[in-house]
Amino acid sequence: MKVAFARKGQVLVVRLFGELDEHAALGARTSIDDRLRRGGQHLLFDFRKLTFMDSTGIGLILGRYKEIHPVGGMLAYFGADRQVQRLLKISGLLRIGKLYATEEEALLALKKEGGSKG
Amino acid sequence: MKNFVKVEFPAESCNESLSRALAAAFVSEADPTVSELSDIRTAVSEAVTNAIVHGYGGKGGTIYMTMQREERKITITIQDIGCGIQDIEKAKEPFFTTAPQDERSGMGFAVMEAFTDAFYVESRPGEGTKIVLVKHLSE
Ligand SMILES: Nc1ncnc2c1ncn2[C@@H]1O[C@H](COP(=O)(O)OP(=O)(O)O)[C@@H](O)[C@H]1O
Ligand SMILES: [Mg+2]
Repeated sequence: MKVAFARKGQVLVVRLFGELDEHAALGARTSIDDRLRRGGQHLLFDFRKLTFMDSTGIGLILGRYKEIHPVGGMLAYFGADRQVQRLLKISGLLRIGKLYATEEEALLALKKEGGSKG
Repeated sequence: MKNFVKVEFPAESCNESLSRALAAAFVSEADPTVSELSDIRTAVSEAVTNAIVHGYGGKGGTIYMTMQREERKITITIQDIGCGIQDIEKAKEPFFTTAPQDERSGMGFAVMEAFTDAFYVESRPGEGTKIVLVKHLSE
């Protein structure tokens, strides 16, 4: 698995490539946390190039949410296929973060909501 | 059409993807839909990961996997001779995990349930765990 990042204002876009399972999770977690320490308040997960995910990915996303939430961070996702959408749904991740169709939509919404919170 | 395969492999995390690939290869002969294939890969990944991280506690061991096909019915078993499960009903509850420090979500069994047509857990503390995953492929 590969993880790439893009910083868009206060949003850190996390692009996941390949398969996110238990074998890949520790590496992904470390690289996201390292990058998050260098800045970014909100997290936007890009699932377009994610070819596989299981409940380990749920744990990874929840773990990152626990880090940004206390400092007012929001969570959002885009590009999820059917399998990832089902995982987000049954794990309650759709209640703590919103799923968007495109990156532009997600960024716009995060900017709006982030702004209204001050 | 009937077929079966039996394999065993070490309980190492690199074999999580191998086990998914094995299941996909076995099922592909039955011409499953894309969703059926990804459901099976996901359920297998959950069971194998549990055997590695919980059953053998990350210390290694052997995982036994069988795959059976009877017409459109696929049955996959994943077995470890690890620590076993104290309370199976409790373990199946969504968000229940004995390893929160590793960011386990406790959603593995819930995912197996959602992605299969039936699944069974046989386990005895100190003896190990066997997971049976059943999926009926569409015609
Ligand atoms: N093969 C196994 N051997 C021993 N314990 C297991 C096994 N599979 C599952 N368990 C127990 O069941 C619990 C719930 O499993 P699961 O739903 O996959 O969540 P998670 O893996 O995130 O903890 C685990 O935390 C563990 O205590
Ligand atoms: Mg699990």
